[in-house]
Parts: sequence; C-alpha cells; structure tokens
Amino acid sequence: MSTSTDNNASITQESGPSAAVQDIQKKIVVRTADGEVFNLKEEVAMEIDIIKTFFQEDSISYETVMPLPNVEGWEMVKVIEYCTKHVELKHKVDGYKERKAFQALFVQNLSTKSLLALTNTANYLEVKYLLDFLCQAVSEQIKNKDVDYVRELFGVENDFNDEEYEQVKAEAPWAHENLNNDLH
Amino acid sequence: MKRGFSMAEEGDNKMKKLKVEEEEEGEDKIEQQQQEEEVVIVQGPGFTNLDDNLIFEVFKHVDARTLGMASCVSKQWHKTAQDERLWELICTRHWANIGCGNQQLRSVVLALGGFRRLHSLYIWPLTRPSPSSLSSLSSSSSSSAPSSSSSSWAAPLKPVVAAKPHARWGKDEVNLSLSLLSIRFYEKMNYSNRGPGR
Repeated sequence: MSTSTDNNASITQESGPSAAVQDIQKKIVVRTADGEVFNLKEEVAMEIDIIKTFFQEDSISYETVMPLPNVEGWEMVKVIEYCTKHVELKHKVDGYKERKAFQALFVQNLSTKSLLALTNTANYLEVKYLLDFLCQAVSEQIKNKDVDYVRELFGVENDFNDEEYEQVKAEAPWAHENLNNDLH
Repeated sequence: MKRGFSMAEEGDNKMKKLKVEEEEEGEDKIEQQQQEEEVVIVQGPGFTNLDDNLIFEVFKHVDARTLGMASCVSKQWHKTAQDERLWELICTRHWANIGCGNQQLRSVVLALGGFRRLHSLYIWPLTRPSPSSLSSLSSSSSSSAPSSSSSSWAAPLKPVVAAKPHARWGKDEVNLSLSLLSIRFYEKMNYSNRGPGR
C-alpha cells in the first residue's frame, strides 16, 4: 500500500498474485517471434486465452515476459486492435453498427495471405470470437467463386487427377453452374 | 513505458529458463497436433495453408453451392467438405419449426443417407428451380404417373415451392423432403433384395 502512488509500481512489486491487491491497471508483456515487445492492458490480455492460461499459473508473475514464438509483430498489433475494440463494446448497450463498421475496416486492407496468417494466429492464441469473425471473412472470399479461382487465391494445389476430379465434380454438379453470374 | 521495457529486459534472464521450458512444451503440443491431424500444416512457397480444423471452421459460414464447389478444390478440402455436420447446418439453416427435436431429425436423416444427400437430391432442386422447370409446370403436374423412377416424384412438387425460393421452410416442406429421401432409400433397399430382375 505504501508504494501505490507510482503508476508503474505494480510492475516492480514483488512477484506473485499479491500484486492483485493494487487496483491500478496492470500490464502484461509479451514478446512475438520477431522480437517485438508489447505491453497489453490486463483486461485486453485476458481476452487471449493462451495468455490468460499462462498467467494463471501461481508460479508465473506479471513481471514475466511471455514469449509468443508463433506470432509475428504485425499480427499481434491486429489482435490487440480487435480485442481492445471488443472489450470497449462489451460495455456498450447497442454497439452492433459500430462493431460492423469496425469489422469492415479491420479486414479492408488485408491481403488473402495476411488474412489466412491472421486466422492461424487467432487459432493459436485462442481468441474464439476473433477466429469466428476471421473464418467468416475468409468464407466471404470464396463464396460463389469457381474452383480455379479458389485454388489460386489460397495457393492450394490440385491433387486430383482428371478422373478423380470428374468424380468429385459429379457429386454436386449444380455447384459448378452459373457461378460468377449468380445474382445472389 | 520506459520502465516497462527495462523490466522486460530484466525479466529476460528469468525468462530464458522459462523460455526453454515453454518451447519444449510448445514442441510437444505441435507434435501432438500433427499426430492428431492427418494433414500437417504445410507452409508452401509464400502461402499459408490452413489445417483441417480451420478449413472446417471456414466452411461453417458458406452456402451450399460454395461448399459443393469447395469439395473439388483438393483432397483435403474434399474430405472436410463431406462432413455431415456442415450439411446439417446448411439444411437446417432455413428451417423454421420442424416439429421434432434436432437430435431426432439427425438420427433419421443419417439413417436414410445423410444431410449431404438430402440436400443434393431434394433440397437444392426444389429451392433453385431452373427456368425450364417453371415453364413445364402445367405439363408435368398432370402427366406424371407414379412410376418406379424416384426422380419423377420430384416433378409435381416443383410448383409448390417454386414461387418462393428463399423462404424459410416450414414443417410441410421438411416432411416432404424427408419423405422423398426415405422413398429413395427404400427403393434402393428393395432393388438389392429382389436382385437384378426387377
């Protein structure tokens, strides 16, 4: 209690859950694969399940810098952006429009390659609502497109031979009709 | 902020030990994951491929036509797109009160051939009529006599739902499509019992 005046004092406190006694906003520090270090607000950090689990261990103090070897710096920026907004909207009564507008902007300048990378990251970090949103965004990119377009977009190789391809195509021939002309 | 960073550096030395442990744990987890999934995450030249689980998650959001197309992209995509749960989602998405519990519906449909087949045979043709079927409304409804081929059963029903292709399906339409599925199932059963003569 005597050292509570300094804003950053919480970081220099003795390790262990006793830091919870302070009601100053705590920060959690993570380091991504490329060596970038991020200071997250506790409430945002706790949205990321893998971080939450890590710091729930009694032996881990908030002084610890958590390594995230599978995450790039730019991905972390995006994740923090999304989670911060999510936390902000939690306290709002009717944030639907705002959320939609934010989501549109969020993916606007992302290439497909980046979108896929970010989806993998959201899966690794275990942020369910972000993963859900990103999967939906990916699905938008393949709706009503033909097979070749999708293969190129995702960099997926065709491992069917001609015969096999005709076989699988025959399972749902209606799926290949009038694709890009579809008004729906 | 400065303090935060310097603490990070001090924390580094403490972290080195933890990091090694964390990496070992991480490796174990990744190995476990690789064993569980048949397909390993392949980082092709410059592209990020998704593993089976993530592809499944993406597929949960697509419509029927896209799913049908997706099953032709590659063997991995094909395997994932065949999943009955995805087709169940697609079938039931636009169904209003179906008159029975989901688990009940699931057991019946799976026993009769599955949601994917249900959709392909009886839901898709009825919700997306081609221009030619609309013009043959009057000619087919009166002339189709009951025959052994199950496809003719579908013809007189087209006028019923052709008017509203995207409406939510109610109990009647659902029962109809389920009836057609069971008829087809039993027809096939009979043929195999009686042999090639019939």
